Amino acid sequence: MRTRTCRAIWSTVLLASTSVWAETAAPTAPVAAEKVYDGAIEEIRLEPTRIHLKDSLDAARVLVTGRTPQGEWVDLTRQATVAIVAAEKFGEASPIARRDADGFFLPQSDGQAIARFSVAGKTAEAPIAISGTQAPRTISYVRDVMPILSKSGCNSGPCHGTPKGKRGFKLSLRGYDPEWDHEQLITDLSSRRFNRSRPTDSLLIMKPTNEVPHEGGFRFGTDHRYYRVLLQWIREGNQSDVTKMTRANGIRVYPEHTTLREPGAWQDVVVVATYPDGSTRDVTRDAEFTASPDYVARVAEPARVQALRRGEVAILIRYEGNYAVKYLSVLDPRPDFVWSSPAAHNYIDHLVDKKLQRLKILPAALADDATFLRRVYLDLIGSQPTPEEIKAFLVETTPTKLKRARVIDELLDRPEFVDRWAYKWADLLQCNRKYLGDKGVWAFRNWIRQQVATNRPLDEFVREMLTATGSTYENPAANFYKVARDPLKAMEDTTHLFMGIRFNCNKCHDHPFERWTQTQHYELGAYFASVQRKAGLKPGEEIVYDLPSGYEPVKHPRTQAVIPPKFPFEHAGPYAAAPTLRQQLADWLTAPENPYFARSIVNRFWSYMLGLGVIEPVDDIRSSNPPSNPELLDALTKDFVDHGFDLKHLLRTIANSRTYQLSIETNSWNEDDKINFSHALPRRLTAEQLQDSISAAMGIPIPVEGLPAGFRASQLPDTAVRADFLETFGRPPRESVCECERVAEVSLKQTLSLINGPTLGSMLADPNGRLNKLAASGSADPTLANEIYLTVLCRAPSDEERTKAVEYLAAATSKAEGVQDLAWALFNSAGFLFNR
Amino acid sequence: MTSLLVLFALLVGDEPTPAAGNSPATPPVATISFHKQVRPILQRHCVGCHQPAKRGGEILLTSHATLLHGGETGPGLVAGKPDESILIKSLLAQDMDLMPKGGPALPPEAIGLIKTWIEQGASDDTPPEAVDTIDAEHPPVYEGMPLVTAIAFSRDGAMLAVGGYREILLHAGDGSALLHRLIGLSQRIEDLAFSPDGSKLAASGGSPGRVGEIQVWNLADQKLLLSVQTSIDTLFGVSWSSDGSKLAFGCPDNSGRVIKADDGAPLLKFDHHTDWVIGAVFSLDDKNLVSVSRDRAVKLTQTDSGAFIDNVTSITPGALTGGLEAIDRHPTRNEVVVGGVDGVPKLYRIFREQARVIGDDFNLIRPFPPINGPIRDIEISKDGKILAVAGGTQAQAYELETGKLLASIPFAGQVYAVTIHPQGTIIAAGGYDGMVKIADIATGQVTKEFVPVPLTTGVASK
Repeated sequence: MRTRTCRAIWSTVLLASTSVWAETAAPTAPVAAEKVYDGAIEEIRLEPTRIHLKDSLDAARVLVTGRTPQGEWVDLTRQATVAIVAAEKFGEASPIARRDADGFFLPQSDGQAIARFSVAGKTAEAPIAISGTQAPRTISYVRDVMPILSKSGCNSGPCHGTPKGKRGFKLSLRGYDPEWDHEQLITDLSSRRFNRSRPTDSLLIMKPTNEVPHEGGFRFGTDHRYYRVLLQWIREGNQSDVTKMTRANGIRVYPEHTTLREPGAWQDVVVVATYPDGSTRDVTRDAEFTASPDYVARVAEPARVQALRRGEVAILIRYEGNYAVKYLSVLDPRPDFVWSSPAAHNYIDHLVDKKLQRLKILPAALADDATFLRRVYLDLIGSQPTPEEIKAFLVETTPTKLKRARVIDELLDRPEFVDRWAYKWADLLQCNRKYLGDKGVWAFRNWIRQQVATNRPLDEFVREMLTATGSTYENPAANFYKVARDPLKAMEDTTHLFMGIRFNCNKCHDHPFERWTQTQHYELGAYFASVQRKAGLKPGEEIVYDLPSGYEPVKHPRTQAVIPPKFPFEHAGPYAAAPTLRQQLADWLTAPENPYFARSIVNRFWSYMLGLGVIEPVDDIRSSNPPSNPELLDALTKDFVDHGFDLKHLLRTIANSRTYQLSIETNSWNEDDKINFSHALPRRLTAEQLQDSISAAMGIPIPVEGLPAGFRASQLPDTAVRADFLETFGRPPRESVCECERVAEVSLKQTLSLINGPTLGSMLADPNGRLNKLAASGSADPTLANEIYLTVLCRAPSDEERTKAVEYLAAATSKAEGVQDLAWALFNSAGFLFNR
Repeated sequence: MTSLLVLFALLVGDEPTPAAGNSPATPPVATISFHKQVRPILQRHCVGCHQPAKRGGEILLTSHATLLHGGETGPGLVAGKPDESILIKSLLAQDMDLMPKGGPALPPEAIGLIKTWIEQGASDDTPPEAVDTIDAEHPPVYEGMPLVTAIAFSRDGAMLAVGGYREILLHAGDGSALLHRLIGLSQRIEDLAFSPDGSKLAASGGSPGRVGEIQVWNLADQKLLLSVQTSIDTLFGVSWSSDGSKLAFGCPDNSGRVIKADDGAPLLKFDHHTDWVIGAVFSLDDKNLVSVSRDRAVKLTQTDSGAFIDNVTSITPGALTGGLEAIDRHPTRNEVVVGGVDGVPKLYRIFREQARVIGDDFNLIRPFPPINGPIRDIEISKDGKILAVAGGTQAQAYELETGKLLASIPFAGQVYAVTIHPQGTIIAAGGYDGMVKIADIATGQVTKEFVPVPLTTGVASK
């Protein structure tokens, strides 16, 4: 139908689009050469401030950090020289420790002394104490061997930590079950993995050294400390000390400072483990490090971070199931940077700007009124404004900030606001007739709409669902339990939705990136074990009730032990006194003191407005996935809680911020920033936004099969309503609580659907459509061109665009066809398909 | 355009190599050692894929001989001509895919070193001691207590064979003396079985991660009749056919195999299991095999064709409770006892008498009282009356017909092997702690306890 006009159309498309793809491009800046700071130093400091080695295998590092005249902290550990000034009873000739090339102190003999560090004309001292070198040090399975299995990757997910193991050898994932691992190492298959008769012939040390071919490759050589430790352990009888030796219950990471001065700079790291008895130990050499993203920094052995490019990087540090994240900013000098001091609209901008200023990033300019209006319509009510609404807004002379605030308030009270946000909740709560039945799906949907329409405080909304009893028809909140049909599923859905955490990872093993244990999965699940369901009188109706006496036992899958309910952490809020388990759980969850509930919801809603969470992904919150701006997230959370869990207040605050209203146009200072909200991020319209925006633009409803005319896409009860267009653009099937269900990608099928598909085609051809009526009205071509741009892209054309459009309209065989072709081209452009 | 391309090609093709021809005098090149310099590079970067377990490109880089022998693309190298050698060409990605696959390339110094070695003639300087030092004249020396992984009374009870490191130790049946040391290649002996006529001893074993071996020894003169090296890891659970002509065993490549007992010729390899096969026994008429595996299944296979006949146990999901590691057949009936990590020995009939229905376990005759850990070895006495089980930290004897526990011998560690004296009154067992214990079934008393290998004094006194 339209191939003959392709050439003209493509030129228009190109004109109308700017590069949204630039956002996804990989960094192109080259990796910086190694940089060693040799400038002036004003003071130096040591971290940690003392050295205590407790046996002959111990080692500890002290970081030497210097402050430059500009106030930056730089790593001088390897430049510093050390003199060990012995205490009186040891002579200068007998130093009690030596320091190796990587900066680790290794014990020589028992005693106490002072380590004096000198660099750049400054000195600093740390006391050094050494004990236990006299006694023979036997190898500990827990302290010495287990960390080797983790550090060498043996028990990692792709290797022997996989549930089926590799080549017949299976370990617990990242060593969450040392007892089981000891069995696998020592007694499985009649002790095939070691050889006491000839210890050097043990599989356990011949595999990692590749003496015996190892698919996992070379892990360490026979000259490595790990080889010596394992060999000694075999010689000593390779016993387990799991029952005697405590594992670390926390780790602390040095340095304290969070910036690296420039690409190429090095930073040594120290990891100190703490134990239940309060003791500490340097475990730097055995801790694992992962840098993300790995193009900003890398981690070399042993525990050295090198800045590669300007940007921000999270260094995940693991040791014995403990996690810490060191969030580092790689700066560069940027001597020409001048902060522009843009005016803040509210506290959000203060906190965003604070970080931008530190990183020497200049935020984008405020988006123009037309761009803002389309953005805020799409975000708050799910469809774009009509030409009339745009025109009215553009001519309004009230100061920008005020008129924007006014339109935000209006949108929050529009009926489409309810459509948009109830639909979002229905996605997350799996409002789906496959689970709820024809009647149930409407009941649940309408109940959700009611919560949004009345702006029900979120804590009440969630508490009502989690504690719901009775008929799923009469008390639709109970449908939550019609979807989540067993205690563990209900628990997983609840934690995923309302805490933003993946408590399902620890169903089969301890969580690989967080402190959650397998036992906690079942302990928390037990709170839902009192929920029972029985058929109601009406077809499809279910009655949800609690077992009158306690709950059905939840069993640990491996030990089969009955697991009583217990929260994975306690907080100060009141929840213990509630009469039923479910009420206790709901109170615990929704309390302001719960560090996850409000915070995770605020983060989600921020991401719905800005296109990216402060923590991303929004439903995978863990200590190893830190917020890009913790102060911002804290402030948003506090504000939300202080305003009684008011979601409208949250959305209003975000929408009014300058940060939300920034342009997508970048400058040379923020073009490589993707996570600090220094400019807006273009987002593809969702399936429902597309359909409702096409409909709003053309001024006519898009018919939906089986429903009365006028149903907007965001009013549909569930995804069983057939709509190919919505399917194509990634409408979520509502079969899980994961945000990932909604597909945001761009596909060929989508492109073809818009080029040739019936939805847009029939809307363009409809004689009652806004543009066809306009074409028939006899307006002049420049007016037509203006209106087409306003209708589709919600903005006036540029002079160049107007000239091209007028030329095209003049050459068209008929006015109607010319108008349709132009509109079609614009609908297919990034300017329409993206929220910018 | 075309001329530009040609010009470009010329420029690139003609790129000068500055070092060639007029390089300054190079220092004399030291002789490169295969064993000390080249082999470690191969070991570190190459053998992960080019090893018997993976056979990337069908070339094994585990020894000088296999490197020379080469693979799919020919010999691994041409002595004296590094530029024509596949090894170098692949390391430099010249006309070949870069190795290691997926990169990064080896450091230039490493490649240079290999190159020089080939230039110098690619000789093998692997020292004899690195090849092997142990033989009958140089018996193995034990640095520590052994692991007792296999044990068997001879048919007449006069001898007790015990698996050691690189050897099988033949003790007097009452444990009073070490009679002979049968020294071979296998670092581990996984199982021992005397032939039906009592004249030979078969052993399955090998060196973990490297090679599996079946040994057959002639007892009269302690000569090795047969050594079949196969598979890439130790071989498990060996047993004789009733006519003494065949041997069946389990392999860690998930197969079970049958070979001829006289010349080792392969007769059958069956692949119905999905995890390591730890044992296989023949039916009474030798026409069928029953095998157990870490995949939890007990499978019945036709000996001649290798055809899969049946799952002996229930296979309903949830019915199988753990990997199986031990099996023995009744001397006169088509029944087997199997055991594994769940610690429950179970007596099954081999052949189904009722059609399978979902969830059934019709072939199960009797479960026995559980043992306190994984079952590693099972033996039924020659008269079919006694069942001996090694598992957990116990060696136990049961009355086969009733399941009654007769004796339980505790050990300091896990027990890996057990055998019953032909008279049916005595069991012998050993395991992790390295001791062999001989015990009287009727009284449960240990009558003899000894270390089955000659220890150096230092270890013995430990």
